[in-house]
Amino acid sequence: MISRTASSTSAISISSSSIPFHRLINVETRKFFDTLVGQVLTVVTIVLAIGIMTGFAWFMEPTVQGVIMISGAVLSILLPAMGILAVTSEWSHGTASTTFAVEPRRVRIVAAKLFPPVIATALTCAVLVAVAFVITGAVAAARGVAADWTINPAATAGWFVVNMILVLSGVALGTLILNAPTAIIIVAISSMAWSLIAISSTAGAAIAGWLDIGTTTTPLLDGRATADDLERITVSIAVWVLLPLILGALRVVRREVR
Amino acid sequence: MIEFTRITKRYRGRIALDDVSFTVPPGSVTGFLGPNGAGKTTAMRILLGHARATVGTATVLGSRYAELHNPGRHVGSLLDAGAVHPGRTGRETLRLAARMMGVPISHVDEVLDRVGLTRREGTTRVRGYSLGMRQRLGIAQALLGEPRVLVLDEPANGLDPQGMAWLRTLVRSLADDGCAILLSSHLLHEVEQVADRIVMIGNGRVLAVGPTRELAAGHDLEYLYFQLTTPTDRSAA
Repeated sequence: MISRTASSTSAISISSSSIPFHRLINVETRKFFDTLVGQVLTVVTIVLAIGIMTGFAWFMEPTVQGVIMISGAVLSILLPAMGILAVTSEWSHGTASTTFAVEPRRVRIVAAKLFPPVIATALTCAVLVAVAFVITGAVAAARGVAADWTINPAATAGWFVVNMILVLSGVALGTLILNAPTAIIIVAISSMAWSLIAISSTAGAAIAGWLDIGTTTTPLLDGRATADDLERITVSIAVWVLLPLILGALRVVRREVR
Repeated sequence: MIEFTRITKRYRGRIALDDVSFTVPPGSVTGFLGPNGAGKTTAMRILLGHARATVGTATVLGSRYAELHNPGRHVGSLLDAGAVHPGRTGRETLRLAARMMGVPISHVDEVLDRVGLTRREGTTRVRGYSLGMRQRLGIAQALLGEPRVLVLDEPANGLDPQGMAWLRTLVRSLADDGCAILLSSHLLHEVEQVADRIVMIGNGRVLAVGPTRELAAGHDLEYLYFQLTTPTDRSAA
């Protein structure tokens, strides 16, 4: 009896295969959207962006490109927060142990967790572009002025890329810090600190020109990034996205889980 | 089956586990006893790869847990009934685990029935669960992958008397089907009824291992427990 059981269990463990990565992405995405944080944050981001976009069209000018770009004022704050909350949720709720019991190769979970905030950001961008046309048309009609439908494809693509960089910087910092309030405070302080550094001196401005994502990505939003700009963008991404992500992944893999 | 081989765990000078070795054979319920802080949970966390042993190895089905492919299909575990997102329903929690393990979603309702959570409770957010309901949900998740090995840390904690009787029957029938079950508890009378083997630890050290009947030897488990452990076995701290 016992020997039969023993042989059947070893047969099972040999025959079973690992969890396919697409399944991990699928589950992590569902986990992001089935909790209040994911739902509320996505909705709040879109609603606030629509608010500022409408305000721009109303008080400034109903140009569809301008309406799209002004959303950055909201997105630059909320997308890093979304990235942070998406990856710190398991640690705030103590559910990491349950997740790692099902997939003990933790680095695969870290990698799968990159996707939901990126998907949410892509959806948000798509919704906002569509909404920008509606707002522009509606506000122009209401104000009785002509709408400007000109789209700058390079600037719009740049806006999309910047949004991705922002959310990934949040993901990376969240993975490194593993604590949402601390990570969000770091983001808030660093954006204030960079604006001080940039105006403090020429040296400060030079440093910000290489390391501050807000500064380096500005040419993308203008839709005319040069090779020099791309170098600066790459350096700032390496420092604010790649480095914390790699260090964070190491930390998650080595950490003892409660 | 489960094998601990000469496990020592040190935390900054404090010794949580000291040269711990024992096995849990298939077809048995092994009761894991010891005072608070004796190292039971630490041993289980090391087994599941949540913590690293300073020295020694712990294996399940012949492999380190982290080397098992899709371990949820072989090993069911419940270490902390609180390790569930409070904003998800019980059913959603299990659905996520089922998707991840590649278990048919229909299993979710089966295990909910099996642990005695009603449809209505299943669709309630875990925030509103009592400890007993959380334990049942945790046991449901442990059973989801139809595992051959179960690791349960104080699963009876918070269960009502019906729940304890149900748990006893469940654990016994799984072991009779050939599962290897490691179950920690402070409820000595419960353990005495269900466990065919006992591992007792105190202060990070194994104090006794063997068949329940032989160890109790004419007395009951409580007598043995108080013979072997002292208040100072509450470790280590």
